[in-house]
Amino acid sequence: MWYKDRGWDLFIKYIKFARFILILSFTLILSRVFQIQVFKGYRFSKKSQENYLKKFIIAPKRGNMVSSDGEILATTYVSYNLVSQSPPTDSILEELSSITGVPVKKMKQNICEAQRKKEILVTLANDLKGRPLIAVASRIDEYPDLRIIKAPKRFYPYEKIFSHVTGYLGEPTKSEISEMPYSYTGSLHGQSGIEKTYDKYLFGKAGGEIVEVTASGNIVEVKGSVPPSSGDEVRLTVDSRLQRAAFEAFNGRPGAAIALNPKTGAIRLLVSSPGFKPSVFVDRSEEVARLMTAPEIPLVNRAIQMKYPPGSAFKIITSAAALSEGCIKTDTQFECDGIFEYADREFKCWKEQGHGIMDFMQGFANSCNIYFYNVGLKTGGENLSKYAKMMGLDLNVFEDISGELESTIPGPAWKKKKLKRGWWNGDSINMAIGQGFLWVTPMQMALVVSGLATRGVIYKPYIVEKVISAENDIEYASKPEIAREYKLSDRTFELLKKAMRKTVLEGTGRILDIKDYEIYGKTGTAQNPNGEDHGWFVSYGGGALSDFCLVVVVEHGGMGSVSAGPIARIVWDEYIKIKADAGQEKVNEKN
Amino acid sequence: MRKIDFTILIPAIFLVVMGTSQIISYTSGRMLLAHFAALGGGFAGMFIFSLTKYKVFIRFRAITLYVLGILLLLAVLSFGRTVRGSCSWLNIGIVVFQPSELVKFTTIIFLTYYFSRNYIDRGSPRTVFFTVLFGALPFALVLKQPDVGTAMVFLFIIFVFLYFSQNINFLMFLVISGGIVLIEIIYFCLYPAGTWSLYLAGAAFFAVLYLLMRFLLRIKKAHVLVLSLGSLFVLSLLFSWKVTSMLKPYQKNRILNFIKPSRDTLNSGYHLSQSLITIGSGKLTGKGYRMGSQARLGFLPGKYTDFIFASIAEEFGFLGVLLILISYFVLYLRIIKISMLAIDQQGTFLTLAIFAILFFQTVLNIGMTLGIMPITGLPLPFVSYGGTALVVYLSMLGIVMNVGATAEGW
Repeated sequence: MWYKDRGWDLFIKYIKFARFILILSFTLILSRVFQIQVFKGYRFSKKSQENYLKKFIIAPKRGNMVSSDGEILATTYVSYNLVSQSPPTDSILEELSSITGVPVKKMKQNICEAQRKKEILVTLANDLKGRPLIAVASRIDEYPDLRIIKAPKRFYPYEKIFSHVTGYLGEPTKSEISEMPYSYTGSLHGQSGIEKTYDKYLFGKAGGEIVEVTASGNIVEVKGSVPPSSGDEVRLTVDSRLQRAAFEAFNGRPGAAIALNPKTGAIRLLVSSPGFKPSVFVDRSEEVARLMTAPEIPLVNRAIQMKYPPGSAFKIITSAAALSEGCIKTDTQFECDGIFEYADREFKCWKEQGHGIMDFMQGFANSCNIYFYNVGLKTGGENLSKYAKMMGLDLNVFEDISGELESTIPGPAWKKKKLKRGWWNGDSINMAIGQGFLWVTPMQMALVVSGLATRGVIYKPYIVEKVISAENDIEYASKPEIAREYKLSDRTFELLKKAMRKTVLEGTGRILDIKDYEIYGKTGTAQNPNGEDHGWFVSYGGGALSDFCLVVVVEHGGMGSVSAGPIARIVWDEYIKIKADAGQEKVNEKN
Repeated sequence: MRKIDFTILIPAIFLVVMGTSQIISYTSGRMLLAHFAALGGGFAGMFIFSLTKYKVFIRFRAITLYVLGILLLLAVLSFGRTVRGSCSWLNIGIVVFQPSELVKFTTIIFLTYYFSRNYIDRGSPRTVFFTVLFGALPFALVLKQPDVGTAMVFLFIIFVFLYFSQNINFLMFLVISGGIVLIEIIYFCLYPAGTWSLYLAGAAFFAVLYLLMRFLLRIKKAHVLVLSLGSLFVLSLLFSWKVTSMLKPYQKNRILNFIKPSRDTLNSGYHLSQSLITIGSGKLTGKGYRMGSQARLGFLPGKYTDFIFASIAEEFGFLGVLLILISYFVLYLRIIKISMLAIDQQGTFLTLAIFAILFFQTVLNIGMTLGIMPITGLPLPFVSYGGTALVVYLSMLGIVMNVGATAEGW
C-alpha cells in the first residue's frame, strides 16, 4: 500500500480536490437540467410543438355570381399548382421550366417569397393546364419533393363586360383584415364591386389541416382537419344580354350606362367603359400596374364614381321647377336668335342661327338653350337648387357597390358657403341648362329619370337580388325600398312626359323613335373646359316598357344625340327583343 | 467473481441500456449490429481486464502499446477514411474503428508507466518535459486529422499527469496562462482586427504595473520582472493569435455562440437552441419512449451520437436524466475511491487518469447539450453511438475493477 509512502499525504489532497470538482460539476449540471426541464419545461414544450405541428389552411371555394338571366359572371374552378416541399436545385428548376413554360426566374422569386414567409410549401407554377399539367403529372414520381395540389381559382367568364359589377380580388390591407375575422394569411378578398361589398357571403369558410412535419418539412401525418365550406351564390338583377349590348356599344369609348326598373330600383345594367380584366388581379400579372396608372382610368366605375355636368338633361328639372312654381306656362314664348345677352355677357345657343320664337314644348324638344336661359332667369337659383335636390339629384343611396360619389348641386346658399360669393342671375342662367357648378353622377341622373317614370317615387337602386347558400338557404334577399317620394302636380308630370315624348318624336331624341313603343327621352350635351363635350341621353319607357329607364353618358363624346343616342338605341332595341322573347315564351307555354 | 465490482458494473449497464434505447430507435441493419457487437466486445474487454493483473500488464505492455498507438495514428493519417471532414477512421479488413479512442487508453497506460517509474523525480524539468512530449505526440497526430475535440482530451491527459506531479506553482502557472490564452482566443474571435488595441492595453497595463512596483512598493529590480511578464504576455498573444487563425469559421462561430447564445439561432446556433428545446420539452416525466418529437422528426442534430443526452432527456424527462446523472456520479465516485485504495502509484494514477478522461468528456458533452459548455463534438461515454469508444471505455472500467480487486487482496 503505497499510501505509507512519503508522497501520499500530499497526494490525497489532490485526489480529494478532484472529487470536489466532480461534485461541483454534477451539482451545476443537475441544477441546469432542473432549470430547463422543470422551470422552463412548459415554454420549451410549446416551442417544440411549434417546431413540428404546422397548420395548413384549405382555401374555401368562393361563391358564384349569377346574372338575372342565369349567366355565371364570376365563378371558382379547381386549378392545379405545382408545389415543392423544399427548394429544388437549379437543374431541377430548369427541367421544370422547360416542362411548364414558367421561367426559372419566376420560380426563384416564388421560392424567395415562400422562405421569407416561412411557408412549408413553395409554389413553383400556378394554374397548370393541358399539356404542361399532363407532362408534370406523368413525371411527378421522379421528384420526391414535388406535389401537385388543387387550389380554387377565381374566373370571370365575361371579363371586361362585367368588370365594374363583379369587381376584382386582391390581398386586403391590415385595417381591412381586422374587419374580416374569416380571412387568413394570403387570402384574397374583394377590392371593388360586388366582390368587395358581398365578400363575407362570397368568401365561405376556410378549412384547415394540422400536420406533423419533420425538420426538413416533410409531412409525416395529418393530425386533424376541418373541411372548408363554399361561399354563397350571389344572384344579381343585371341582365347579361343588356350589359353586353351596352358595353359593346361603347366600343371602348369612355363613359357609363345605367338602366334600372323604376318600379323597384333593380339595376338591369351597369356599364362603365373602358372595362378591365378582373382576372389579371388573380394572376397578379404585370397588367395590374398598367391598370393602376393608365390615363383612361379603367378601374374607376364611371357610373357611380365620376361626376359630369348634366347639360341639357337637367332641363327636365328646370322645367319641373318653372312649371310647378308658375314661373312659366306652356304657352310662354321666348325668341331664340342664337345669342342671349345678359349683363354684358353673351350666352349662346347650340344652334348658331337660332330657333326663332318658341313655346315650352318646342323649346324643350329642341333643347333650345336660350329658351331655358329665360326660364332659369324667371325661376331663380333657389328654386332650381330646391327641385334638383327634391327630384333626386342629391341621393346617395346605392349600397351594393361602394364608392358612390356625392353630387354637387349649387344654389345661393351653397355658393355663399363654398365660394364666399353671392349668387347672381348669370349662375341661374348657367344652371338652367345644367352647366356651371352642377356636377352629378350617371347614377343620380338615373334616379331622377326613374322618379319621372313613377311620378315621384324613387326606389333605392340595388343590384343584388338575393344571396343563396350552398345548402340552398336564402341568406339575403333584397326588397324594393323607397328612397325618396316627392310631389309634383299631375299636370306638371304630364307636361314633362309630353315634352320628353316630343323630344323623341320631333326633337333631338329622334333616334329612340321606335315604332309601336313609347319611349320618353332627353339629350344633353355638357360643355366642359377639358375637351370635347360629354354626351348624355336619359330615357324611360311607357306602356309595355314602363319597367325600364336608361341613362347613357359618353365622355367627351360630343353631342348627346349623336354619341349617347345610338348606344341608348341599341340597349332599348335589346330590351324590346328580350321582352318580346319572354312574351313569346309565355305564349308558347300557354299553348 | 469477486473481482467484478457491482458498484461499477450496474451504473455502467444502466448507462449502456439508456444509450441503446435511443440507438435502437434510430439505427438499423449493419449500424445496429455494430453497436451490439461493440457492446459484446466492451463487456468482454471489461471482463478480461478485470482479470488481468494490471501491474504485470503495465510493466510489460506499456511501451509496446504506446508505440502501437502512435503507429495506428500514423496509419490513420495515411490510409484513414475521411468522414465529415476529419480523417479518423481506419479499416483493417474485419472492422472499421477509431484509433484515436484506443490511443487515449494506450497513452494513459504508458504515461502511468513512465510517471510511476519517475515518481521520485516527479517535479523535475526532465520528467515534466517527457510527460508533455509523450502526451503531445498523440495530441499533434489527432489534431492533424483534424479532430479538435479528441485532441483536447489528449491536452487534458497531459494536464492530468502534470497535476500528479503535485507542483502547485507550476499548476497555478498552467491554469492562469491557459485562462489568459483562452480569453485572448475569444477576444480574437470577437474582434478579428482588434490586435492593436490589445497591444496598447497590455503596454499601458505593464507601464502602470512597473510604476506601481518601482515607486510604491520600491522594488529595485522591477523592470526585470515587468519585462519578463510582458514578454510572456506577448508570447501568449502570438500563440493565441496563431491558434485563432488556425480555427475554422464554424469553430469560431461555436466559441462566439457560447459567449452569446442568442447571436445566431438559425444557422450555427441552431444546434444549441434545438438541443435546449429538446431537453426542456421533456419536462419532469418526458414524452415517453419513442415519442420524442424533436429527435424523431429531425429537429435535434446528432440525436444518437453527440446529442444523445438530449434525446434521452426528451423521452424520459427530468427523472430519467436524474437517474443518468446518479449513475455517472456513483460510477465516478467509485473510481476515485478505488484510486485512493490502490496499493501502488500505478493503480492510483491509472484509475485517476481513467476517471479524468471519462469525467472530462461527460461534463463537456452534457454541458454542451445544456449550453453551459461550447460545442465540441465529444461523445458521451457509455451512451453515445460509437463502437471503438464503447469497447475502450468498458475495458477501462475492467482495469479499474482489477485495481480495486487487487487492493482488496485478490
